[in-house]
Amino acid sequence: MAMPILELRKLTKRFGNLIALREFDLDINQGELIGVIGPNGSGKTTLFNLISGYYRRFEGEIIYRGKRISGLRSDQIARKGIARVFQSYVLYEDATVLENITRCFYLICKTNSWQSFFNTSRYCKEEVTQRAEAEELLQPVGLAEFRDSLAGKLPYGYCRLLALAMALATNPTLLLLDEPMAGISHEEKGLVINLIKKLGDQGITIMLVEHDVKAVVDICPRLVVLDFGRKIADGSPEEVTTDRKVIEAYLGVEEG
Amino acid sequence: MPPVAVWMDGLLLSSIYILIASGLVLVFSIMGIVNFAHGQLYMLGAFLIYYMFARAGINYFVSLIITAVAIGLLGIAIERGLLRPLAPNGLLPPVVVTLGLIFLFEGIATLFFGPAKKAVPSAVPGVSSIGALTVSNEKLVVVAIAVAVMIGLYFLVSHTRMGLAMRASAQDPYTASLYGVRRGRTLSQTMFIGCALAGIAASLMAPLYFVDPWIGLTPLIMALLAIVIGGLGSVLGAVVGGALLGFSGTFLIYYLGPWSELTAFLIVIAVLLLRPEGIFGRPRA
Amino acid sequence: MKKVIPPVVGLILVLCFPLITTDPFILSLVIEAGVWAIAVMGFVAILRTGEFSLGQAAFMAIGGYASALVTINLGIPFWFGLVVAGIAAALVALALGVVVLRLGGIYFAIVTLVFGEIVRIVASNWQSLTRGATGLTPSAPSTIHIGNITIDFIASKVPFYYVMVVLVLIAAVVFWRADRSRLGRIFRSIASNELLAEHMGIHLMKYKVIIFAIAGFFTGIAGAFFCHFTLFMGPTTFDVWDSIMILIMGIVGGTSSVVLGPIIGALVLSAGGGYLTSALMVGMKPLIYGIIVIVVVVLLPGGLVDLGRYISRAPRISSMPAVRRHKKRGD
Ligand SMILES: Nc1ncnc2c1ncn2[C@@H]1O[C@H](COP(=O)(O)OP(=O)(O)O)[C@@H](O)[C@H]1O
Ligand SMILES: [Mg+2]
Repeated sequence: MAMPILELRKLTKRFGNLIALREFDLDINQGELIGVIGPNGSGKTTLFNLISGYYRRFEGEIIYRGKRISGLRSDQIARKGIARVFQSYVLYEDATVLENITRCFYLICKTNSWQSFFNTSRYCKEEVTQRAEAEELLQPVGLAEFRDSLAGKLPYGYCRLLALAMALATNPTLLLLDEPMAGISHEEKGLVINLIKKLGDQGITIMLVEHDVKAVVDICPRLVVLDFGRKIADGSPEEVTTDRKVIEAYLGVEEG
Repeated sequence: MPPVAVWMDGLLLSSIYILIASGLVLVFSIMGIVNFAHGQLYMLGAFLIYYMFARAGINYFVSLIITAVAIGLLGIAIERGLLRPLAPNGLLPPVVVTLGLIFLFEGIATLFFGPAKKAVPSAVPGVSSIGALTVSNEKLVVVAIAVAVMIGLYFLVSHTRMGLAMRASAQDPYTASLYGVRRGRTLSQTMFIGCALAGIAASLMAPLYFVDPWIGLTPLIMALLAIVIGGLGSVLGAVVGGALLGFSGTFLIYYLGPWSELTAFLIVIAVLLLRPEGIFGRPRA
Repeated sequence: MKKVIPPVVGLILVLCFPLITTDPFILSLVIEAGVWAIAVMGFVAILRTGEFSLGQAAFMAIGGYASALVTINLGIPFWFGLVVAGIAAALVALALGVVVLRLGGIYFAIVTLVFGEIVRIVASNWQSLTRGATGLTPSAPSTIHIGNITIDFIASKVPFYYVMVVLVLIAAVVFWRADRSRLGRIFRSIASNELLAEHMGIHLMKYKVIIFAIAGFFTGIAGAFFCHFTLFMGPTTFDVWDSIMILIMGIVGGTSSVVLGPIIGALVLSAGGGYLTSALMVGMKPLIYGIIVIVVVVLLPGGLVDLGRYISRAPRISSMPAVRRHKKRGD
């Protein structure tokens, strides 16, 4: 079997006395769809904060495609092909929906700053194609008609969809999704589930944090369960949902 | 060992820096903005003392209290009239307004009080001897009042309901409001206290120096330095930063002469390089 | 085509201005306003990445001293003095930026303000180099002979006027192109949401330092030009008040455009203010400036540039750039 795309080694993050994540180990293979579930405050977002470089001081190692990325800045990590959708409202609120997408093309531009400064024809051409690409990205999330509205004025559900489209604009290899379905309508949820499945089929590796266990089970062939910062289960949905520790920690509350 | 007089001057200067810096930091910790017109409030306070004490002959301590209250009320007016309505528009508009106030107050002072330097006579003339030392009463009173005010401030912030509301509001305004802290009132109280401290500092300093419309800049800059050293948002930091600047300033003037002005800045640069969040600031996780 | 007409007409008017008047007082005011306009463009460009500097005048001082020193001591001509000034100021901006741009927000404002004081103190105490408060006396550019045309910088202010126009044009084109190109998009991303920009692969420090250094470069040149124009360079030629004035000109002119706003702000406050100074009582000028600033911030947050749009009640595209508070959230 090939080398895992992402290896997490004994990740531990402390906030004072609180240990938000404890000796977390995980190997993720290329193209895998992994669901990360766990009760509120169990450390899921913290895990993403470590992988995406938001926190740079922690214990343990993160290895991406055989290279250590722990300790790098978020922009360096993004440059390696890891994109993240935040759990909360993180957009360029003062820009239009379309502009939000084009700003995310930063990493995949083919012309350099000088060409853009002198407004060369190659740069102009790239601007035109990028605009078209941006509109194309808005299609599958159903935001095409809102392309000129201000992102800050969008209803919450649309914001989440836009954030997802923005992450895709960077053409990622590994996608970290933090509760992309929280607070959105039923139809939108269907849209997101289909989109994630399609991305999975395209070979993008995805880590999905989600509260809606049904949706995760539907999408992800492998689940990891966190509780109080500890990994308590790792396996197929059937294995995990019948695991006693998991039922006690998490599902027990849900089903009870 | 530098002579006792140098220690005394260090103590004096530190007291003033601490009063100004802690007022500025108090306001910052709750409103999230630096009031760049803080130095001009100090300047207006100095003029008030000049007119009340030196010209109208009102008792010095009465003048001091009136000055503190008046400058505090002016602070409330600024907060309610200008800063609060602008707060939802981000950080820049209120900060720019405080910069505009610098010019406004300076202009008012020049127009109404005149550009000439004015002297305020000593409030408590004479010298005292403690053992072998002689110190001017003026300086003793300044230090005593400054210490008393800072102790008062400490009790106010840490032992009263008002202080509790202030601390809660500084930490997390939203959660504080859920627990019944009325943010508007807390803002006004903070601004009153912070600006009153500038008024007190001015009253204490006026008899030792002179008064003109441009005396506000140096205290502002020294207070900002003290804050950067101590950590933005920490009153304790302002106290330590103020003391560090006050003592290092007087000691180095004694040893180095005019270049000592730079040492304050060198301390700041060292702090910024070694511990950018300041000595008592909280680092990012 | 329509878009080209206003700038071309404007440029022709600017070039013809000395035909309307050669009154040295008026010309001096306009020349000085041009100097400030360059500095304000730099300030606004930095502001549009979400950071505001209160120490821009310090870069004028560095440029001024650099040029005065190399022209006086090494006999280098004025024109190279300008380049040296720009490079010196840009290098200092680079070094300062690397240290203090990490902090950002209000910290950056405070530290740049303090930096202005550091420059002043060094300049007044380093007697052997700067001659302290006595100051340096840089000279005007030497007379140029091209064929039988003679350009004399001492007899008339008109040559200075045209040099100023050229400098403003160069700065304007650079800042305008930077704003319209991908750099501008990056700067707007950073100003709008640092957390997101960084997670989208933008190296925040790199771009902030770049714009800080570019602004420093032009601001240094502006300072150098100014001191060769006024023939004096001392520790208080550019001080903290000037840094604050630069900010105020930027805000009053309007920050929604990198070029027009600064030019308007500088013309109104520097040239306009200078014109009125002689007619006003002492203290009136700061009073008026203070009132203008407050009125603009409260009633016209887009600045004077926005006035037309404000009167015609067209939708306002922008007011002031977002400057972030110190904390940022990461969930
Ligand atoms: N910046 C922080 N400072 C202190 N504690 C934090 C911080 N961020 C998260 N925590 C704590 O860490 C724990 C895990 O949080 P988080 O990863 O956000 O949980 P989840 O995303 O699983 O709901 C929680 O107890 C939370 O309160
Ligand atoms: Mg979470």
